[in-house]
Amino acid sequence: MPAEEKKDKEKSISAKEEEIIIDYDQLDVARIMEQIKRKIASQPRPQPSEKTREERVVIPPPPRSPWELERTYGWRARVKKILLRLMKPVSLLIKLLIFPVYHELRETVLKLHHANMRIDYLSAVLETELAKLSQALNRRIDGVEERFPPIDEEINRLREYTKLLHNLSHNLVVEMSKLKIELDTLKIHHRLLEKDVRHLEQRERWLEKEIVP
Amino acid sequence: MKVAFVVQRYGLEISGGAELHCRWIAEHMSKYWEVEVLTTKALDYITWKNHFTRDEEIINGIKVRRFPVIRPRHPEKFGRLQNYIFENEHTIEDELRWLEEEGPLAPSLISYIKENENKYDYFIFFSYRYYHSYWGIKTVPHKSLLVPTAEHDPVVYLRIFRDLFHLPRAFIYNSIEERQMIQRVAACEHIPGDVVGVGVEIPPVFSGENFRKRYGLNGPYAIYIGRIDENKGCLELFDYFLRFKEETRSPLQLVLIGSTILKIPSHPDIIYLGFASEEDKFSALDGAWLLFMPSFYESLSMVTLEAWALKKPVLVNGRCAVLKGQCLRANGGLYYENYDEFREALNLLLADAKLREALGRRGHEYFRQNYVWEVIENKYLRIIEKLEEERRA
Repeated sequence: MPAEEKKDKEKSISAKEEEIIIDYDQLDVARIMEQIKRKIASQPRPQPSEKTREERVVIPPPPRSPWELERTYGWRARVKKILLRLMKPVSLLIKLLIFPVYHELRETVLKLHHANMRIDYLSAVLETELAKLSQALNRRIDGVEERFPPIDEEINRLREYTKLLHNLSHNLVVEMSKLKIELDTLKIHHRLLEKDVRHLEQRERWLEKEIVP
Repeated sequence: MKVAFVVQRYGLEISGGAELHCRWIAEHMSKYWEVEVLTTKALDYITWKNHFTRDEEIINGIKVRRFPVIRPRHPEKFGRLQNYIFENEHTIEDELRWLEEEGPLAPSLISYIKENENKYDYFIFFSYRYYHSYWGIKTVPHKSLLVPTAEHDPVVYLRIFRDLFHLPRAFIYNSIEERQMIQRVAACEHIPGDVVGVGVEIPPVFSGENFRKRYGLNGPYAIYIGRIDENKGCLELFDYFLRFKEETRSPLQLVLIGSTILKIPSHPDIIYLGFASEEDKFSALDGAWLLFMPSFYESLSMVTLEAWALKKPVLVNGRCAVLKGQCLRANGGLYYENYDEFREALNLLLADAKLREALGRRGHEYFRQNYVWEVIENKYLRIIEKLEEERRA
C-alpha cells in the first residue's frame, strides 16, 4: 500500500480527538487504548471548585487620602522632622556644604515616595470598589435565589412524582418478567402433560388391544 | 461412546451461566456420542431447593437423570461461613464444610456415579466450585473432564480446589486467562486441556428496526444484557453512564435486559425491559450501537460473543482479565479501567461509526474462527480422541 494512501486511512476522528489515530484496516485495540490512556494522562486535572461566598476575603475600607497612609506608616517622617528642627540653626551652613545633586536626589525620592503612596491609595480604592461591586452582585444573586424556592419546590415535587412513576413502571416490568417466566414454566408443564396424556392414550389403546383382541 | 455431563442444574428454564453452556454442549455433542445428563432436582441457585419432581426426563432429546438435594442451602449461614473462610486462617475441614454448605448437596448423585461408573466412558463436569464436581471428580478421576468455568475470585484459591485441579484427565477451559489462572494457582500444567468455550444459538428471526419501533428508541443506545447485579459491575456502570451523560450531554440511552436484584436509577435515558425472550434479546442487540459488559468476574462472556456474532462492538470492564483478553485478541471492542477511560472510549465509539463497524467486523471474524459450533464440537471430539489414544497406549 502506498505511504500516502495509508496516511489517508489513518485519520483523525475529530478535532477533539485528533490525537487518536486509527488504522481501520489493521485495527489494533491495544494501540487505541494506549492512545486513550496517553490522552487522559495529558489532560489537565480539574481545578478545585471556586471559593464559596462565605469564604470570600473581607476587604478593609480604603484610607481617605494618601497622607493618611503617611500618618499610619510615617514615624520615620516624624523623626526626620524633629531632627530637621534641631538642626535648623546650622541649616544655612548645611545648605552651603551639600551638593545640589543631593537636593535633587532627595526631591526625586520624595516624589517617588508620594507616587508610591498614591498607587497604594488607588489600589486600595480599586479593591474597595471591587468589594462593593461583589457585595452588590451577591445581593442580586440572593434576590434571584430567594425567588427560586417556589420553582425549586415544584421541580422537586415533579422529580419525586417522576421517581414514583419510574418505580411503578419498574415494578410493573419486574412483575411482567416474573409472569413471563411463570408462563414459560406453565407452557413447559403443559407440554409435558400433553406428552403424558399421549403416552397414556397409547397405553390405553395397547391395553384395549390386549384385553379385547 | 457414552458420555455423562454432570452439572448443578439443568433445564429449559435456566437461561444463562454454566448450566446453559452445559445444555448447549450436551445437545450439540449428542450428534456424536450417546449423551446423558446427571444433575440435581434444583432450579433456584440460591437455595437449591428441589423443584423438579421426576427422576428422569428427556429434554430436547437428551436423557436427564435428576437427584434430590437433601438439604437446601441456608444463604445467611453460608454467607457467614464464606466470610469466615475468606478472611481467616482455616483448615481443610472448614473448606469442606463450606463446600457442603454451598451445595447443591446431592450425595445420591455421587453414589450413582460410583455405582454406574462402568456404564459411561467419560464424565464431563461443569463448574469446579460445587459439590457435584468436587466429589464427582474424586469418585471417577480417571474418567473425568472438567469445564471449570472459573472466575478470578477468592474461591479458586481454596486449598481443596488446588488438589482437585490435579485430578481430572483433561480440562476444557473457557478462555486463555482462565487456563493461566488455574495453572498458576494449582501448577497443573501437566494435565492436558484446550481452550474451547461455547457457541451461540442465534434465533432465526430478529430485527433491530422492529425493536426500535416497538420501544420508541430513535437515538443511539447501548445495551447491557444479563443479571443486573452489583457483582456484574452494574452499579459502576450506572454511575459511569450517568456521569458521562452529565458531562457530555450525549443523547445515548442505556437499555437493560435481564432480571434485577438492584434498584435501577431513575433516569429517562435508562430503560429497563426486564426478562426478554431470545428473539427480543437479539433484536435489542441488533438495534444497539454497542454492548456494555461491566462485569468484574467472568470465565467467558457469552453475551460478548453474541454481540460479535451480530457484528456489534463492545465496551468492557478492563479489570476483568478475561474480558480484556477477549477484546485484545479479537480486536472487537474497547475496555476501561476507570471513569476517564470509560468516557474517552465511549466518546470515541459514539463519534466514529467507522470504528464501531470495524470493531464489530473484527469481533465477528474472531467469533467465526473460534466460537461457531463446528469449531467447538471438533475441539471436544479432539480432546476425547486424545484421551482415547492415551488409554489405548
